[in-house]
Amino acid sequence: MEFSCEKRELQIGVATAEKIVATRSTLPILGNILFEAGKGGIKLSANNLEVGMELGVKANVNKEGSILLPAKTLSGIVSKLPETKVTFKLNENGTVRISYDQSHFSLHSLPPDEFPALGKIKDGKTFSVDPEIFISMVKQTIFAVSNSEDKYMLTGVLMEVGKSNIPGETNNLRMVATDGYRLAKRGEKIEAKGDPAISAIIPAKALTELVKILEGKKKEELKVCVSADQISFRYEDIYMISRLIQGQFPDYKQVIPKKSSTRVTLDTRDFLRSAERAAVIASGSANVTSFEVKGESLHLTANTPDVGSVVEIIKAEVKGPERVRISFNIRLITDVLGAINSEKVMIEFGEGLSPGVIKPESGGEYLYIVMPIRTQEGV
Amino acid sequence: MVPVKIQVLPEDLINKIAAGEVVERPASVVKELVENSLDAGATQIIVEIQEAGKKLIRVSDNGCGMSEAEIEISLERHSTSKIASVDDLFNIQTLGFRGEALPSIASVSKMKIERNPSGSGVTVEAKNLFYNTPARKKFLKADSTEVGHIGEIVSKYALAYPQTAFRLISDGKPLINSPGTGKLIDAILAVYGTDLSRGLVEVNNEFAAGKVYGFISRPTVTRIDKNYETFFVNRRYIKNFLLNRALEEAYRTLIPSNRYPVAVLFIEIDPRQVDVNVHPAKREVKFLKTNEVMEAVRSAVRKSLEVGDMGKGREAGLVESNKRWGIEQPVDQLPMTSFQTSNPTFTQYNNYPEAEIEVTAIQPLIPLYQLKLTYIVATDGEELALIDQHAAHERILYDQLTQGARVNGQGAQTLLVPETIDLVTSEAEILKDNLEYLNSLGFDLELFGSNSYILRAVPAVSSKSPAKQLILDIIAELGETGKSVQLEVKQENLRKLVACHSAIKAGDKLTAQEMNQLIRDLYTTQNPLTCPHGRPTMIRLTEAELLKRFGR
Ligand SMILES: Nc1ncnc2c1ncn2[C@@H]1O[C@H](COP(=O)(O)OP(=O)(O)OP(=O)(O)O)[C@@H](O)[C@H]1O
Ligand SMILES: [Mg+2]
Repeated sequence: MEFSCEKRELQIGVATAEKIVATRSTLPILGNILFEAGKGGIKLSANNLEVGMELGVKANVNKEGSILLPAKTLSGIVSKLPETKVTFKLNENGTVRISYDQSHFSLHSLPPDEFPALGKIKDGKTFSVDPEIFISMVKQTIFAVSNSEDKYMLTGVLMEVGKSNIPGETNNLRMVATDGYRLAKRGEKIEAKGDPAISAIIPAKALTELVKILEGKKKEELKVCVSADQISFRYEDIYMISRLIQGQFPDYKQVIPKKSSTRVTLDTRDFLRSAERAAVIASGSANVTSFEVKGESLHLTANTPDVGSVVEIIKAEVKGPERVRISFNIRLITDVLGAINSEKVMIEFGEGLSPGVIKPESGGEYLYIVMPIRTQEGV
Repeated sequence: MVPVKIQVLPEDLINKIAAGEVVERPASVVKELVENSLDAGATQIIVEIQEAGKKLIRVSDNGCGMSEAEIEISLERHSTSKIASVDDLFNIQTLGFRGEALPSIASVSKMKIERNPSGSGVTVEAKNLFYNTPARKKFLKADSTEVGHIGEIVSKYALAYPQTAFRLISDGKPLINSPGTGKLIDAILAVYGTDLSRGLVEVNNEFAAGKVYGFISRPTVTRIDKNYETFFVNRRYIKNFLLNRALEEAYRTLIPSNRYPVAVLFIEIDPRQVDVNVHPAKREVKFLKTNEVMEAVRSAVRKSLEVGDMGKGREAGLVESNKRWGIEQPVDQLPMTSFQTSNPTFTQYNNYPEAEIEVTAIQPLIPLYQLKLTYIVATDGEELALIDQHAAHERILYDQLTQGARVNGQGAQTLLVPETIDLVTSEAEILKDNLEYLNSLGFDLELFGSNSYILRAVPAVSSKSPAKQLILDIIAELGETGKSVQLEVKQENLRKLVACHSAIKAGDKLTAQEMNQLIRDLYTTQNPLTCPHGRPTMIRLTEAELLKRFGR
């Protein structure tokens, strides 16, 4: 195998593949990047058995072939190379000679045959979406997933394609995530050719990787392909594949409150900052924070015996009766406020112990439902 | 006229049989009587108990029945209709064979055997168990424990004999009701409930000397202990730790090492290959070729985990060449970059006109690094500290629970969707026993059917844990640790359990902010240096210690 390419191109490719490479794997082979030199250039692959990825790098191939190179060492080398042409050549003895200008490295390589092959989806349903939109949808939902393997199907984000059957919604792409105590749902209208009907639970870990890889990319469409047990993403010549989570996602429609009695509109930043301050105290009391609507303001109260207490008062626009007094885990509130971009945010309360609903005042169909904490007397 | 089938065994045979303690507790009586009914070919067995079997155990069946003469002789020691010679002993097809059960039960209770008026089957009744052996009686556990044992026995037979309908009624309340359809999965459903049953896959595999079949859990369904690993050899419920080991080996790397699968597995094997007579209650067996049987279990389980509807499960997908390398690592068992929930950093604030904050806590330690996703390396500029994240969080939560109990009651984090929790009888009894206090800690559990509960809320401190697993783990551990009579101790133990199972675990990735928070919270507790179980939450390296270590 022999090829040469520009250092910059190579560096981008290696850095991207490195994100997928398993770091502390019990399978040492997964710490490598697979290089395949073919007619049109070279292909880099990484696989951590959770997510697999493949991407192309422009190169002049003199001799076809493939090898495995240790990701860590390689990226250390490549990032420090001068901006010049770099040549890779596999020697008889299995080492790879990496030469540039007058100098060279010699790296031990491994034969590629033991590297797990990347799956390809055969008969999948496909759609395309603006990567920026896709990523913003992921970011607004993924924080609500469960971190516990015991609740396996909740460790992923439900992605649905198809018309929404919730009245008033116009979206046809939805992402939903929940950990059993709160639920985040984001909808978006996209151009989906052939109206595919898709419902798939994507492991949060795969989406986290995808977000890292796609961050800042917006030139082209992101192509998504879904089969019964796998999902793949293609952006330019980056290809990523992940298994799907099998199982029944809870029926989220059933938990969306039909009506609310009081709606409070607040400045998102003010609300977030107040909530963060209240959290300092609340964290000593299981994050329990009381929410009270009084006049034209929302009061957040928390107290921890032997530590102290806090009352945060936030200016608000209040619609509906004022007699709201309910407690929430303040961390579940700060989570969502950090993910909302809209300047103003609305929080809706229902009767008694019904869930709180948080929505941005503008921009996208976004909904966050949070279950209250029942307390002896408000706080 | 029915011929007399029962005869007294010859002396040499009697000696071959391990004599032993047949009746240990009410559940042993239930076991013997149910076995007799099954040996009699019953398709319907009703077990009624009063006061956990201490007052009454009554088993009626629709089996072959007994003549008056047989009833009489059956009470004699070593009278059995089931074997006649030593050769028979090595080819046992029935559950009973010693001719010992009925006389033993009769000697410690007021026993009565009656032919059913309907004409088929008999009803055997044992009243006032241990009335004449007060020492025995004293050793009996709380009623709920004894009912639990009885429930377990009946469950095991309901599983082993799916074609027989079992009913267990305790003080008039139905606890188990298996339909007797002949389908194993129906029996499992009756014993474990729908929820667990849905997480099972079928096993069915032959090996040289026999067959392994039954149901096992997908790797996503696990339990905290081995209580859900059930084995039957030739339909006899047995305990054999080698079988447990074989089963667990098949799951190795598929599930965390401290969790156990659920399994209802039957091994059908040439009776000459097993010795059932190694334990007085026939609970243990010895295999002639142990390794062969273990391997059969292992490979049968593996096969079902690999193919079947499992194939679509967690390990499907990317690992196409897994097999080729003989690698057993599943997809999601591998470490991967953990993702973090977005935690906006605490930003400086300056305009809070009417807000008031009073804080008295200081932050003594600054976290530097999370070591092995388990320990927080921290320093206060003077000393170096290693904090065990789980122990520290456990302390925090325990204190919060204790404080909540004292001050303003516990917050209860309500669930988005209430969960149904199906329990086996022994678990339901444990839960019943602790229900009131669990609910006062913030759980909202309500009985729903005989062995099912609805869970609507968990303690506010537990809102990072999956609700249902939390309660199942707590029940499992309660079953193991037994119970304390003293209410105070009992409640303290429960708080410890809730704290332990709600706390972050080793391996949970923490952000810098979360580490900071943890340390801050730890220092607001009564006893920041130890966890509620008394283990240290941190190790400190003083400057003096460093000087000494470096030999300066
Ligand atoms: N429910 C029943 N229906 C019909 N026959 C029964 C029933 N219960 C007991 N018998 C008869 O009574 C005999 C004695 O029962 P017992 O349980 O004492 O001994 P066993 O079952 O033969 O051996 P083991 O002591 O191992 O249980 C049995 O062999 C059987 O013939
Ligand atoms: Mg018997």
